[in-house]
Order: sequence, then structure tokens, then C-alpha cells
Amino acid sequence: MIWIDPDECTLGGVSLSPVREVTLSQRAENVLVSYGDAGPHPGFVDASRIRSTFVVRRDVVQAGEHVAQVGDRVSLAVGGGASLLPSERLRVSCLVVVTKNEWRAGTGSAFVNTIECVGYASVAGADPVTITREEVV
Amino acid sequence: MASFAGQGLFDSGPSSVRYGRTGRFFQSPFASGDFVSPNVVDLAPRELEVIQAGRLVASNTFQLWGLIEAVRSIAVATTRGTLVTDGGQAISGLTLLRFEPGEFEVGSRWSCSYECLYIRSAL
Repeated sequence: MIWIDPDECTLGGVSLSPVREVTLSQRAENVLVSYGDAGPHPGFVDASRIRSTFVVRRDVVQAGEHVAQVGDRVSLAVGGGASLLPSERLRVSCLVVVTKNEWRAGTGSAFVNTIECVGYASVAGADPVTITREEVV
Repeated sequence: MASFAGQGLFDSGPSSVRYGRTGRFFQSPFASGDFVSPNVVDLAPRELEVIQAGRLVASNTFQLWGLIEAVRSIAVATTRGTLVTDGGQAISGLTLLRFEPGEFEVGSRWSCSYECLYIRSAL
């Protein structure tokens, strides 16, 4: 899932604007593939230990600004167009731990701040990512 | 899917079955002080060992615990029966001696790996 130039992106209630893009990736830390004696193909496949990772890339507008620290446990909220239709808006929220906060010189005179976070649920085992579709009137 | 003693204990997931070490027990040549035993000494035939490794699969944690308990109770009861493999091979006269479930894994289903040791005892 990717949002380019999202309308809203806050981390711990603090706006990260201006944000270039936010991505949400989910991957299984453990892929179970079990074989039996009945044939060459697996008899059981499952994806367990799923990690949800957010990556926020934003422009740095002020030297020395500091919006997140590695290890912070905060809520992340992202909102933007769900499609090219202007009437639909997608909002994603998640409790996260910040795992990376990187500053780089970009192209030209721009500087880029990349923040990576891993989602966790307040209820153990539940999907930490909440996605809601909103209709824009 | 595999079954043992007519019970579908293992039909929730795949398993593979192999023989353990087969043949005979023997004593290798050895020397101890002045004593020398220069030849292999044949002692006895080995009992047939069968090892089954697979995965139990359930739709929730309670069901998975149920599957584990069902196999455990057979292992404790020293039930003798026939093991039918996933491939349909029947191995008769076996006793389930040991059942070792692995760590739970939770994805779209609840599952755990396991290993069973059977022997065909002469007793």
C-alpha cells in the first residue's frame, strides 16, 4: 500500500508534513511449508509472524527538527485518496514502534528524513493496522 | 493423510514416515588391557523403529490442544496398531512410544510440527 503526497500523516499526534510518500508493507517472518508422503507438493502452507512496516519519507523544512526517536511507541495515522476518485478517502492508523530515523541529502537542495516503524496491536495477536474508508462529501 | 490404530490422529496435516536404524545389534572389535576381542559379535536383531514427522493443523488454539491431547493419550496408553502413511503404506504391529509436539505457529490456521517414534516390539 502506498500513499503519495498524503493529506494527513501524524506520528504521536505530531504532523510530519510535508510528506513525500508513506508505504505500508506486510510480510511473514516465518513461512511454514510442510510436505507429506503423498506427493511432491506441500500439504500445508501458512504465513505466520506477520510484520507490518511503515516507511515515511518526508522533506526536511527546518534544520534540527526532530519528530521521532528510535524506540518511541506512538500512534501513526495516514490519510489520503484511496483512488483517483476524489470522493473516497482512506485512513490508516496503527500503534507503532519507531525502528529507524534517517536523514539524507536528497537531490538538489532538498533533505529527506526517512522514518521506519513496525506496527503492534494493543490486543496481543490482533492485526495492528486499522483501515477505514471515508466518503468525502 | 496418516492414521494410527484406525484413528485419524494425523489427518489434519501432512506427515512423512521413515524407518529408523535397522539391522542387528552387534559389538565391535575392541581391546581392554590384555583382553582383545578381535571379531564383531552378533548380539540380537534390532526392533523396527519408525519415525513420523508432520504438522497438526487446527482452526483455533483449543482445537490444536485437542489434537495434541488425542495423540498424547495414545502414546501414554501404549496402543499397538497399524500406521498408515500419507502415501497409503501400512506398517503393522507398531506401538507409539514417544510423541513430541513443537512450537505453536499462528497464521491463518493454528499449527505445530511433531515427531512420533514407534517400535515394533517383539514383546
